[in-house]
Amino acid sequence: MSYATERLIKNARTSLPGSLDNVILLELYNVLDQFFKDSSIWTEEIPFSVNAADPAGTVYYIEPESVSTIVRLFSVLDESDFRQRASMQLPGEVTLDTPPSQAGTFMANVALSIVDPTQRDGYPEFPEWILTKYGMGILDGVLGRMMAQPAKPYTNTQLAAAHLMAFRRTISIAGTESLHRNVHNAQAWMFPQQFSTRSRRR
Amino acid sequence: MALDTVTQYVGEARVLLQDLVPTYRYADAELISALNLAIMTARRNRPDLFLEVVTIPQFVTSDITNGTPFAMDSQYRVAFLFFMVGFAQLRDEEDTQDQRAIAFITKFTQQLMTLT
Repeated sequence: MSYATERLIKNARTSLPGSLDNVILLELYNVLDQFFKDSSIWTEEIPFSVNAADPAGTVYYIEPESVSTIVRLFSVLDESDFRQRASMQLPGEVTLDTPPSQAGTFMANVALSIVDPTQRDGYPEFPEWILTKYGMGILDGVLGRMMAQPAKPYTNTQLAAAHLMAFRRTISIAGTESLHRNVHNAQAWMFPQQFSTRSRRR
Repeated sequence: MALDTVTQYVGEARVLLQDLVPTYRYADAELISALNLAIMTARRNRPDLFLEVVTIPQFVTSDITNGTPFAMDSQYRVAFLFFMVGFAQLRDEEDTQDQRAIAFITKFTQQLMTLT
């Protein structure tokens, strides 16, 4: 367990009198899962091999190197770094819209989320910097979910709503900063929205 | 006393019940039964206390002599003790004992579910 995780648990304990550590851990898992799924902040590039003889509709199986699960596919690049149209009907199963014309290694860029803990202390694995950067927002998520539980010494629906709102705000900020690759004020200009052909909403 | 084992729960309950000299006014079986009922009630009110167990623990009188551990978060051990004492005293017929019994059982519920 990292110092940042330990600090988060200590903070949660302080604000939740009568809470149990394994319940905090359970909610931390739920919060992190929601955070990663909604913000798409944790990404990984996964290489996979294609052959020229692959028929249309061939399924390419990809697996992240980190202990995680694939949430969504961002892009597939061929060897020349040209974007290829592709889909992922099931997480980890990539299908190219156009069969490859030559053999090579393509690169799938995917968003990840946590899976069941594999560390000895029971904590899920994810990049350390995320907790360092968004720790307070994740703490808000844990506090909000804990305080929303019924009939506990730490139940507080008003505070729960406030914490969960702050958590949603953090997810939104994290998603935006991830899109801008953590560059301040990047891409402030947007193409006029009346030219938009599809919604920006997921 | 750390309240780690069934023996310690029964021992502490006897202190509050002022029942430390054999032959006991409250039999071991009664106190064990009260502990089992406390566990069942706690499972209803606070399922998170039993997240790590598949079946909730139920004890027998031999667990007193064996010193069988009762795994419970240290924050809530006293609450179980209060229920044992309260439930044991419910059988008494005197009005004062009734009030004391109700006070202990109420304290049990309060400690499980509120900050007081």
